[in-house]
Amino acid sequence: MDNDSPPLTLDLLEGRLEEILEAALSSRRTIVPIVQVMTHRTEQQQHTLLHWLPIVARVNPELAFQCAQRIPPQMDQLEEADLERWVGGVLDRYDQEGLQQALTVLRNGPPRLNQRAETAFLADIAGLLTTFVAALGGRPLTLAEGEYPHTNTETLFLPPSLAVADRVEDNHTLYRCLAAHLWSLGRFGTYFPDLPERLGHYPDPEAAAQLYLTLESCRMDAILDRLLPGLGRFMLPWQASRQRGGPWQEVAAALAAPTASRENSLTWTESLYGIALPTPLPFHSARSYRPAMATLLHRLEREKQLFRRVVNQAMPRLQPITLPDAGDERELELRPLADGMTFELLLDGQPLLPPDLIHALSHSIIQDLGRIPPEYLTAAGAGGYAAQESTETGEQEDSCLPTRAEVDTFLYDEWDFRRNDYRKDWCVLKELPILPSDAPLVATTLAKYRALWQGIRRSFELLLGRDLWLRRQLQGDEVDTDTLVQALTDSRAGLEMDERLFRCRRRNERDVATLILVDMSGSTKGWVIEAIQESLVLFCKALQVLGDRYAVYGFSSRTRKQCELFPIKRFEQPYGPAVEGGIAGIAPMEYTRMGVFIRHATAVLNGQEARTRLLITLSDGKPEDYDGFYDGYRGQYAIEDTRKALIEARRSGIHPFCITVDTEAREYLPRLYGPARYVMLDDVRQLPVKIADIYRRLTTG
Amino acid sequence: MEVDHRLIEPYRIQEEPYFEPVGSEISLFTAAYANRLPVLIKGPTGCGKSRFVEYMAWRLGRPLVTVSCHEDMTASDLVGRYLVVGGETVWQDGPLTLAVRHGALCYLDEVVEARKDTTVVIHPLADDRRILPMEKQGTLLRAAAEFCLVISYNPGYQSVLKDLKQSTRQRFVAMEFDYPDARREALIVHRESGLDHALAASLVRFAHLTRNLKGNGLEEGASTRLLVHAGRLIQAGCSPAEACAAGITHALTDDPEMLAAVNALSDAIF
Repeated sequence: MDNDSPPLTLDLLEGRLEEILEAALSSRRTIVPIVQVMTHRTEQQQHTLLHWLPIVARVNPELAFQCAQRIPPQMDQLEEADLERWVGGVLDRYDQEGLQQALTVLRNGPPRLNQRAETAFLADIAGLLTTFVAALGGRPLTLAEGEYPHTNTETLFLPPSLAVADRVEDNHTLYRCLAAHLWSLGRFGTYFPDLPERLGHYPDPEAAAQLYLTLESCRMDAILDRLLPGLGRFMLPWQASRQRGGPWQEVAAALAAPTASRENSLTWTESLYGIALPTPLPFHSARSYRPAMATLLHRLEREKQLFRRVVNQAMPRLQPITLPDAGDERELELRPLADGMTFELLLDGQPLLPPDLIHALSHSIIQDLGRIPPEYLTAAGAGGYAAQESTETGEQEDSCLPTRAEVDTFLYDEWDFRRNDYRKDWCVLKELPILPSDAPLVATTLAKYRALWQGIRRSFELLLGRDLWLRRQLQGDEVDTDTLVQALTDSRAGLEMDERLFRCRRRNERDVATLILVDMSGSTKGWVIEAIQESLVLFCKALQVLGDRYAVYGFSSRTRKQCELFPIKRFEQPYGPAVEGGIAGIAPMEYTRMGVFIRHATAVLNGQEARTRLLITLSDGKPEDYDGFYDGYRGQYAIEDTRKALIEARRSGIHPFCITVDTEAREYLPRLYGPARYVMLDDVRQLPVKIADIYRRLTTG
Repeated sequence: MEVDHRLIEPYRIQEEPYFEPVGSEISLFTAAYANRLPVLIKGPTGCGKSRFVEYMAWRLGRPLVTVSCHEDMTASDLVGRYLVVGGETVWQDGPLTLAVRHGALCYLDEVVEARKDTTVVIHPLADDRRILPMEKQGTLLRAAAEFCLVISYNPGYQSVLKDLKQSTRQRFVAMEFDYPDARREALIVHRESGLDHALAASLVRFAHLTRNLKGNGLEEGASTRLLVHAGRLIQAGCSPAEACAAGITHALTDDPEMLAAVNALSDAIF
């Protein structure tokens, strides 16, 4: 925050507020009441507010207006960190769930202040909890902040802070209990497709659902006690305090039996319907089942289609299937494996080796249904196990976010320097095949740069790992005859004999993996893209000489929802006509959202086992992207995000190197590429020469 | 050449190693051995591959020469080399030659780690020729009838570089190992560490939780071997939490957040 700003006069304050909140004001909605409250605040507080409001206003003017109303009255009790946490939470919720939910977080006020010592905050332990839940197994789950604890069977919603117990450690443990409890509801069959129907005949189905979920909580308590006795011991005092009254003692005992299932809970619901419910324990879910049912039914349909498609794809891999007329159907069967949750797919009794996806899928389906229903395996029409593609793609258009199971689509966070925090799962990156071109790029480039290519090749050949014989070694592969003769002569002559009589082979092995990211934004149109293509040709050729592993990806974006990455050559792909066609196919497209691509490239590179991992980006200047709302990916925002992504890459052990072709020296370059090494070329014709030279220096340093 | 059998004596296994069979691995190995077929064992680290080979060597009554392969290991490390002793060169057998000559089991552990040139000696030994070319001596050594080559590797590392070539793997009878089922694993932990059954079962449950984290922050989950280590620490008087932290968690990862999460798991179990 800028403390050197001039003192704020009333006029100045009014002017600034009006400017920031303009879009949300109307004749009936003015800033007068806000200014009135603000005049009672200290100047530091006024500056703080004027720091945050523009940030929120860029996201949503209405949200900023509400913040301007709600934050000032609280400012006296708030430290800056608390305010940051509060506003950060509001913005996160806006990103994830939109304005209404963000307003709820805002209205809830700052995360509890009065019990600061023992309060546990979700933000502090979210990483730990995510790992904890992943270890418990089952369907992959995400964690999110929610107003009340509940699960939709794919996300666990946890309150932003907990201050139930007297010590902060206990509140942390309570978070774990809560996460485990929500996990168990999804894992042990509390929510199932027929649940609404089974509760439908009660006069008040909502009340029946609450009772049912209370009973299920008892069952989960017992399950968790068996699975995680450490947590069980922690939860015991709470459970004990509750079980004293009414029929609950008996109920808890019955549902604690290892054989108890949701059917028992449903039976008890029948007999206890109408009874007053006990207050939920602090680690229990809120008694709502609608979010879970909505997700469940949606997932069932999605996974059914996906399952059929996967089965369909797995089949022809082994043998081409011509599904004959009815009566002669091939028998497809699923046989459970020892763990009871994964399955082996059999065709006519022969095991088909299904891809990993089917394991995850069958796991998820069985978690919901308890089995794989036979219709999942039936052929949809003659000629194959067809799945309806249409619903899937239809869904795709509705929501920009991909379903978890979709391949080649990735979600990445983006750094927002104004919030000093990441926007979670902000960018959607897709890997798409590049449209190859049959232009004779390679031949013309090699012809054009014949002399240069000779030079490059020679200098690369010098780098080639050659075996060296190290002589005069204490031990080694072979006796070093020359030294031995010398030593024997010495010994005969009465001199001391040299003991280093062996020679050994030292292999000069190169162990480098390089990923090249190529800017395909619209601004590269013309000679820049040509130079990039030519450099890539020479570079790939040079790397072929060395035998180093490398990959080439082109990128272009148009808003955060369409970040497109084009693999021109993957690591495992050999160099050949397809790669050459890909390089020739590089064409200027849209914009440059650098951060997300660097993050993806980092992930790809980290999958490579190599002593040196190198990330080279080739671009023509500033990162920039168009976004429909607020001020887009440009300026400082884009620079800071790119910079952050480069820092992340560096931290994970990658050497990032940026090559930028720019006609004028720009002042932002040191800041942008600070975490990486970089070079700026003012003449694009230098590129083919430079890139090979740079690589040589980077990998031999 | 006269064969001096005293050299192989230290490699004999005197006492029966403890091994808990999971399936038909013993009969499969016995059949492969009877037919002079080499054996490839794959499986995650610490699941009992080496113990199985030890057990089979004992059961078949053959000495066992084990070589832990590493990235600087060359063919001549396996075959042997000339040494200079008192002004003369003397040939010394490498471990593979030793086993070939004396009809022992030769176990190349983590074979993918060795340099590529080792295939020169592995291939002719692993097909029906059963010969060892000794380049430096210019001779071919025919394997004794009782000789058997066993190699192991861990496919979990999943590196393109460190994968067995088809030409190598298609010479072997392949057996896949995995961690035993929960009941058997608890039994193994109990037998190896002396821990009581209930605690052994808790350790196994903890291991299962960490195995769910494979690919989610951990490269590998806790192996049976680590469970035995933790079990022994508990037997020696450590608390289960201490034993899990020292014997398992810290062996799995250095990442502070991961350590905290895995410790939270052991707290949840014990």
